[in-house]
Amino acid sequence: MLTAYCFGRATRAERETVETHLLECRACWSETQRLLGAIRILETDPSMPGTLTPSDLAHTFGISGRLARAFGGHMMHVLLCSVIYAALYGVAVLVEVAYQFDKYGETGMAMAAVAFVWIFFTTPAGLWADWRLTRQGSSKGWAASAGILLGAAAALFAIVSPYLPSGPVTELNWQAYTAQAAYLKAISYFMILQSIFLLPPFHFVLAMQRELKEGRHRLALGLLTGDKLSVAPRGSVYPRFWVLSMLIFITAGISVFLHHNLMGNLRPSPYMNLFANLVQARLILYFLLATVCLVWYYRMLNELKRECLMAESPRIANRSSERR
Amino acid sequence: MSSHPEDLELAARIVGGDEDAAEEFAREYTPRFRHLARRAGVPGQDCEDVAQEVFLAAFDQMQRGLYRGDSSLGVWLNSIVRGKIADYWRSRPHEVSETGLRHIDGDERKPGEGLVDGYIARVADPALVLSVREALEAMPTIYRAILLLQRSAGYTLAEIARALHLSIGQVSGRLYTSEEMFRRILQAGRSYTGSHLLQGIER
Ligand SMILES: [Zn+2]
Repeated sequence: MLTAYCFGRATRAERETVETHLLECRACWSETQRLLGAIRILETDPSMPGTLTPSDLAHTFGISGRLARAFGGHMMHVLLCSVIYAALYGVAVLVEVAYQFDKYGETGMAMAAVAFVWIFFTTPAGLWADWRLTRQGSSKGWAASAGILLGAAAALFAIVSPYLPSGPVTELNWQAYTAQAAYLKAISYFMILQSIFLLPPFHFVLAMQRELKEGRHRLALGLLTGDKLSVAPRGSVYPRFWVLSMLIFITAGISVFLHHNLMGNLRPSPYMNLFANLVQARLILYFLLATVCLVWYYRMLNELKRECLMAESPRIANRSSERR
Repeated sequence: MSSHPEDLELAARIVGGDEDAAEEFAREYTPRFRHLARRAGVPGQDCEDVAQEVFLAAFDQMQRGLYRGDSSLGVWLNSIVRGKIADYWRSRPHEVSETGLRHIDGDERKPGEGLVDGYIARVADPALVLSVREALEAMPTIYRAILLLQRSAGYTLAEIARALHLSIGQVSGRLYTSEEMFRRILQAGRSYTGSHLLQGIER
């Protein structure tokens, strides 16, 4: 109650109680005097706001303070992306056997499950490696995560392809790829997806968190606001948000064209509908992952900028001198 | 908070007619009367007069045996203080208290607005400045930062809340915690040895 009284937020009844007590208690009276004196120093000593360093602010409130948490504080993003990315690999297996589902359906389901589980665990492993290395100051985080994701996809193809038919399964008006080759093509599209929308933004955000943690707010702000002389942290590039947005639109345009072309050339079969639905699902997952990454990236860029602005201590000093 | 036996003993000596007790009573109580007057919005330059009037009235009544111990000394003295502050405002019907409130009970100032009485530590005691710095250093960064942003840098709770993506309620909760922490560490002074003081405060 004495704290509330001295800091000026006691209720009227509390004030009455404290003030009555102050008239009969020497110990509380002397403590009150000391605390009021200390609060006065807090409020009027011009050097006080300066004791709050940019790194104090950054550590406490900013995104850089979360670098020590698992995945740099982006656990939910990593899990969400891993689920969608793993689902892509699973659905892609089913797409390749859908046209002859009666024949290959059972093996296809099993392989789809294997693909999902494998990618679901290896993707966070890759992002984990990036986080660990970047946090420790290494510039090899991005390369390590890219290597792990590429290796995981290659290993998956090696596991799954022996179970996929070696001839064409999908019946088209033109010569279709064999199931194995078609799966390899799908995987290469997924690689392009993750190497544009998943890894570079993730790595860049981690690297910037580290930069801010080390107090390089001004440089970081320069980079984020387009200062020509600012460079991205070593071992990373700054994926411009507008470039990624453009790429999503371009890729979407191409996909819609290819999708339309494919659907128009399907030969009738009892499983044509299943195939069409699976292809549709694969397309949705593809753009869902890109969109999730882009939205996340947008939010993180704003958080990085916010921390840079907050870390400018002159602003705090100005405010306190304005007040006086 | 319990009554200090020395204060009650002093009151008993005055009631008993001890002559030295007058001086001691003045030394001990006038600053408290001044403080209460200031907190009730009496302008700084008039607080001394109000405190003197309270002292004279209280001493006179004690000597005449009017304090019989029916209520605590604090309650009894407080009623005299309130009466003198009310007299002060009655004699100045056109003035408004510094808090903008004519009421003697209405001193609910906004945090950070000239809260501390002007007469206390007008020139800050260097030892106290050092203690303040030490107390701040001993506080976890988040609490230190919130306290300094609000008290020293003059940010409002709403501004801090916006910057931190927290609700105003969450920020004020943390602010109260940091105020309590600040007080406890300051009170412990050099004997502050670690986080045991902070136990039970952190939310
Ligand atoms: Zn007490």
